[in-house]
Amino acid sequence: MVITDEMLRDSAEMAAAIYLEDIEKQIADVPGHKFSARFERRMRRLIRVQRRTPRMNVFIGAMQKAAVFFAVLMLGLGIVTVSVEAYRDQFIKFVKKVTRRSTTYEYRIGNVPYLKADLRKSVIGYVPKGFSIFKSDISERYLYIYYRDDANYNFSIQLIYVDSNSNGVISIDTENSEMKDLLINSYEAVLNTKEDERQLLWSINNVMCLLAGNIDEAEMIHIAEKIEVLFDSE
Amino acid sequence: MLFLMMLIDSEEDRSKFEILYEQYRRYMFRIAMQILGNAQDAEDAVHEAFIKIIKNLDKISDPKCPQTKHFIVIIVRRTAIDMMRQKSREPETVTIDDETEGVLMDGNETDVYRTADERLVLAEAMAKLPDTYRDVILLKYYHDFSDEMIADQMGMSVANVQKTIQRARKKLELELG
Repeated sequence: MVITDEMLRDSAEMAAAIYLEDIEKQIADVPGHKFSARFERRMRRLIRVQRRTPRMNVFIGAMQKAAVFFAVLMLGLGIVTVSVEAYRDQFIKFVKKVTRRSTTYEYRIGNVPYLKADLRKSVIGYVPKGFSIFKSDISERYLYIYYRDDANYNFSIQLIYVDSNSNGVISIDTENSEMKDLLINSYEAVLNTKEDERQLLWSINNVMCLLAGNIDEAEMIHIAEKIEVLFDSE
Repeated sequence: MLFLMMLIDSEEDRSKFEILYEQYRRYMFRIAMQILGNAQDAEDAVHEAFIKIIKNLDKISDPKCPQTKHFIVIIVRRTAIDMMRQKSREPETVTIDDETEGVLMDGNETDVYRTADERLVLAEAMAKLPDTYRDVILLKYYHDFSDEMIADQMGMSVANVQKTIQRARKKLELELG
């Protein structure tokens, strides 16, 4: 007896229905479940990314690129620009906070002897499963690596070498955001969270570190903790 | 005009995904839970399955139709099974009945299984096929996927898909013969 394509096609819908009925029986005893906050958060993020038009995703990518350019520009010029008046108060406060912290962290020019480092030798010791490098820009004094996965989660790592020729200033959108202080390998850090976007800012000696993206806070901290910069004195 | 069309298409996809999420997440969880037996793993499987669904939104016309439900079952079951295998490091195995290898089709017997009862018998046999055989066969003949699309969905090569279809067909022929 021969079974043809036509016969399989004729019976396929019925086979699927039988199979679905069978599945219903198999899962009948599985109790109801209240989804965890972690799951709900991940799904909300997925839906939010899905809501964006492809054009918006291109725009966000371009904005991230522009942000990198802006950060490098500010690093070179040693200036901070406030572009939106409404942000001014919080922005300045945040910059002052960062500046105050950077003083504490020895960012300020002339405060301490600067340790020499080659950022090309930096080690990114942990990258979450499923993420790969989408773009990168690495030099002796600047490192930028942008990772993303198939589900539109992404994060970028920026390391900026600061010495007597440059200031270390990074601007972060803090309007309606949540900020918290924490430690990354005993270095003081600031975590800025706005919706699902996060920026984690800290320093390793005179290298400023910025980790930004839409990944979980715990993952972000884990990535940060595993970043190593090799200094000449070490 | 093209710009507007692109926006409409993506808007449909976006609302489609949200309907799928509301409609199936609990169902998907129960399926994953039945396979994995652990709530956190089952949630991870559901999340992973939704990521796969996003990639296949263009293949879903009506989020609430039985065809979509079946497609979602395939995705979440395979995701959960893959997770289970990864945990146990057990490779996927497909039972192959060597005796069915090389059986040639005989075009003179195509007039059997024409009545409703006969179609039901074949449908029941198809539903009871081993997982991989059944999924491939139903993606092919129920969802009208091309071999390339099935290969992409199942993580198989196109040649393997074609071989699986051939073997599933032989298995059905033997069982119903």
